[in-house]
Amino acid sequence: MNFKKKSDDSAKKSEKHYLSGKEIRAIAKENNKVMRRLEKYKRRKAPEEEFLGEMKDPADILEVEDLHSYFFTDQGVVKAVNGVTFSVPQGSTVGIVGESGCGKSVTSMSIMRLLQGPQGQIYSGSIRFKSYDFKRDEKGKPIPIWDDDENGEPVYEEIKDRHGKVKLDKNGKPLTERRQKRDRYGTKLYEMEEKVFDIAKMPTKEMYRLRGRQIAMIFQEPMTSLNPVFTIGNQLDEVTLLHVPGATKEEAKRRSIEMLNLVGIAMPERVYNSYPHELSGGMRQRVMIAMALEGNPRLIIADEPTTALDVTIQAQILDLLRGLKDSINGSILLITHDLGVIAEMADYVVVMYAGRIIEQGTASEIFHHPMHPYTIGLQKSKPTMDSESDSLFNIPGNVPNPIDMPDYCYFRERCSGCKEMCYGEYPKMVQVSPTHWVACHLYGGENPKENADEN
Amino acid sequence: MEEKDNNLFPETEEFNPMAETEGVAPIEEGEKPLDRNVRLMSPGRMVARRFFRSKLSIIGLVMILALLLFCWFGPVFYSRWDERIPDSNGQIEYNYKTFQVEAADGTTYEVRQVIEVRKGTNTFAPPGPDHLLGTDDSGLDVFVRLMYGGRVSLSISFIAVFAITIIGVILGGIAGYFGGWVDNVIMRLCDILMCLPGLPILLILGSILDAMEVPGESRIYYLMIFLTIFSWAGTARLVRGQILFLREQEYMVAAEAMGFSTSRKIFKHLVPNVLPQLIVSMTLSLGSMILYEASLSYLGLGTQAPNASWGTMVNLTNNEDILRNYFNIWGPPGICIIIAVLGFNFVGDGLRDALDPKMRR
Amino acid sequence: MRTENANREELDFDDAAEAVKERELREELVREEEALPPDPDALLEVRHLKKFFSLKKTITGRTTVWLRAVDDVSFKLKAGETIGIVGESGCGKTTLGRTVLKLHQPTDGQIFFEGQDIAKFKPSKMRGLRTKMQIIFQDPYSSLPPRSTVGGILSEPVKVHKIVPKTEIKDYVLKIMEQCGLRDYYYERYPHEFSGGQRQRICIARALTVQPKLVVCDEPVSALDVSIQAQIINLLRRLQTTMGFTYMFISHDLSVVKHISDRIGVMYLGSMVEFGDKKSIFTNPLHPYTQALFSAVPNPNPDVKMQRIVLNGDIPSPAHPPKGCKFHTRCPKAMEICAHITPEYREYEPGHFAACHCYPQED
Repeated sequence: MNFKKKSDDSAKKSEKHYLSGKEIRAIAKENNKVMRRLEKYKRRKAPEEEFLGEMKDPADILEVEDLHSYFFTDQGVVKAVNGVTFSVPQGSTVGIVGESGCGKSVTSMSIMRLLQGPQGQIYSGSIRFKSYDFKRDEKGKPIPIWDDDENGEPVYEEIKDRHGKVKLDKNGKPLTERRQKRDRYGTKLYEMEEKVFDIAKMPTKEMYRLRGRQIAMIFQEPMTSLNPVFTIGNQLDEVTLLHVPGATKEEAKRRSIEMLNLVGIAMPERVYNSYPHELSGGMRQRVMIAMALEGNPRLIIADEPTTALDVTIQAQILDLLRGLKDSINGSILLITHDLGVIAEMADYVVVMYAGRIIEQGTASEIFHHPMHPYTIGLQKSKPTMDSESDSLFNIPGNVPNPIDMPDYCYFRERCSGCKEMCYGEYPKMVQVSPTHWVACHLYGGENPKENADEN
Repeated sequence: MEEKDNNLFPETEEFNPMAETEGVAPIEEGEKPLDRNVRLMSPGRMVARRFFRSKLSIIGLVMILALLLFCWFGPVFYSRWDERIPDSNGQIEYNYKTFQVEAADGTTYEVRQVIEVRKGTNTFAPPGPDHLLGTDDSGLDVFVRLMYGGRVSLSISFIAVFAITIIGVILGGIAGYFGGWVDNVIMRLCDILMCLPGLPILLILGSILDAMEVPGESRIYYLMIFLTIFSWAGTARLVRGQILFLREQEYMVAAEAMGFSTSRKIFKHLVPNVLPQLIVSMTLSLGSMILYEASLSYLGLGTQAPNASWGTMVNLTNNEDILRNYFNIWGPPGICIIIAVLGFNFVGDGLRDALDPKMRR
Repeated sequence: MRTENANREELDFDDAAEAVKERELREELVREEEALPPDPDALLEVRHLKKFFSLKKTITGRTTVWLRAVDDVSFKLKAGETIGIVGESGCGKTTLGRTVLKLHQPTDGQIFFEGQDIAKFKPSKMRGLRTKMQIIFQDPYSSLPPRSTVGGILSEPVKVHKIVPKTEIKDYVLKIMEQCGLRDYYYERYPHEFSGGQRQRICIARALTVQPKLVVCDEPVSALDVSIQAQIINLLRRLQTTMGFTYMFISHDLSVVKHISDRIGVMYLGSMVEFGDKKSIFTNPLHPYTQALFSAVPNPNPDVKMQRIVLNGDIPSPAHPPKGCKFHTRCPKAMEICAHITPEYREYEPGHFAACHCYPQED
């Protein structure tokens, strides 16, 4: 009798804990409907006008507005990115910081449009990117900049094929073409123009215009992000050959070696001819950075670039990245979980929690006047080299599972400053200084400034 | 709201984010309402969901279930004919003989003698209400033989696969877990077995069985034993590789650090984790065993008439007349073999997707 | 100091005979030391521990290339203390932790645990000692068997070692789960349903079930989020005060090690380059590698731009370590002598050991 009761209890418990078959089928049906629609939208053919846009602030290079990126899993919709808005000003470093599962990597993948379909989809929102692309004529060919002599007369030169040999016509005479201007690496120059693309609306096929060329990405694992069967040179050259029209192999090699030099590799010629497995982790990450620079990007997304590296190597790479930003006149979107790295690198900081931005501001605002209890807790829970305290501050509880998030502050259960208001709807972003925003009810009152001063 | 009671931080406490929450006992940190409202899929459901996601695995499952029902329950409902007793209700046929008879007047008459032939067996009957798929050259009902033959083919492949798996798990497990010279000996044995050409050796063994005059009913079992001995090497390699991989996993190091005995480590920790891969490989090799049985029987080495198996039934195509004119005799067993092999392969692929932890999303 | 170094530089280092002599002298010293009785105060005493893995073998089975994962490491650990082992990847810190627990058979050296030299214990004899020493792993995902429930994982060691009578197993396990911050209804769930932090709690609970004395924590928090790291560190510390554990805490994260340890050992390419009290190591780091390691830790304060020592180049392969001082290829203070003679591991302050030529030798 007693036994029977017990088993009944446990059955009930597990039933409550697990989804029933009926629910699973309902979820699958709903997911399929949405996924099919979004996949179709991604594959559509669209004229360029449809995904051109305007920047809100002309000083920005990237503006993400109300971005929603969802994963349609068997257990429900995971709102990995749930209404994220931030911008990257030209020439600055923006750091996104958060714990695992907070949606920081999904944000970067959404910007690159690399979410794994059909489960991962950009559901809504816009990602505006100011690209600096080739100006094209009616046929879609890039317009070259001619290198004329002083009198404005066109100059002609011999055409070389990919191997650097002079091309001959039927009569054995060398073919000539009008000379084109070249940059200091010897790469041909074309007329450029600025365009603002809305990445979220672009068909997948159009993304080749941006990926690698305008936006480059550096991944966490330098071990797996290089192809083991090709030499470093081969992989670096490929980027130039792909993105610069009419580039010869010689030009590509010159450029690759130049880039390897730029990232501080001592013997670029030797590295150029070696295979990825012959290099150490730090070297590979340098090669990855060189590869990212190859396309002359305006925005580099660095997704946990130093997490897999040792401390001493991490210091090298961070030094390198900081120096590079100035020399290439680009912006960096740095994604990491390490507050120390962010503090060293970033000008602006975005703190994410469970798919939403909870606080954003300049680096010194975030580090000297953190406002959201989560940001405060995060900073205090990291033991520092100069701290002497015996017990660490810790944020209780776990990062919530992002399926079926309720409409109240997600941090409520872990927060030590929970108020009556926190049982209401999700807090709105409150501006506490021209650059500092926080999403917390503690500062949402009539006099937010006063609250902020207290801390 | 009801969570109010669960609030761990009483309202009396002033909010001071810089305050040290010293002495927060970890039990208070654990479960919170947010955690509780998330419901997951149970492990079983997750496997089922992934298995049934692919249409092919459903088709495969239906095919196999249909065949199993047909072979084991079919004879219960369709018991008009027996596997080995031919249909003796042959029809009456009339033939005639022509004689040249010289009469007394010298004229020659042609005389025809009508002969009534009542055949003992009903051979080559066309498909009809009497025999759903007709009869073969010895008057045996094809439909009934299909069911009995299926029993033989399927059960033999099941037995062989189980035997292969048992030998493979034991030898592969020993090789993988202990390593060293044991591993070397077992793996070289595998190499040797894999070098041997299977079919010619089976042909030789078949003729040895012939010479020893082994009765037709039991010789297929002998052949299956030989087959098992020759094909455990693949399974052993699979198990060994898997165990080598699992042995490096940290939970096995933890088991070692816990001071568990060797047998506990093997049977409680390693074997359950090899099972998924094993089930997949077993399902896939069921198909190939059916093919093996069929080809052996086709070559006349396996089951022999009047005992039925799908292979023996297809074997009748040796007679060119049957191959040309009587599709109803050799077609159905051939189709059955195709269905069985395809079905097992589909299910195997589906299981692989469902049980592979790397496919987990 | 200067003159002595200059003198040494003048020596002829190519003299092979001298090198052999030096080695013989050292071996003799080691042998003398081996005969000494173990320190009665220490729970764990490691003397000249070596663990080599063979990388290349000839057909006859003779090894030609050795990977010297742990190369001559010595330290003492008192009961109730925490020793932190810091180093970069490939420095042999994980191997050291596992060799101390005899999960790897040591190549050479002595390991005294409670006064017994366990280095030469047979596996069957070790099994009885296993309850006294436990390990917590870095990756909470691969360190739990995926096909057992939490209850099954935790009650198995209790059953095997007969720690409590059969009828009380569940209560015992539930009590331990409570101590580790796990809810009682987790008992029937599977590891994959938990987040990293909770899994790490399960791992700690599993180590706790056998009531060990020494717990080796092999990067227990490096796979976890910052806010969860703090929870786990606090849990480990709380358990230390309540249960009197002795920890060997292995990590690459200096700030974490500094927080939890009483003593710190810095490893580089299989050797201990510096060892000492937390205080003396942090206030007065002797070895250039320790100094560089400390300065490389990013500071979470955007306004303080630290002057850091950035080391050149990469860590050499432990299969082909550099001759002489292993660090001389990257050392900012490298001298000529460093490329030829391995510096001696000596005590410079009471309880503060280092191996570097930069400091005078008191002969």
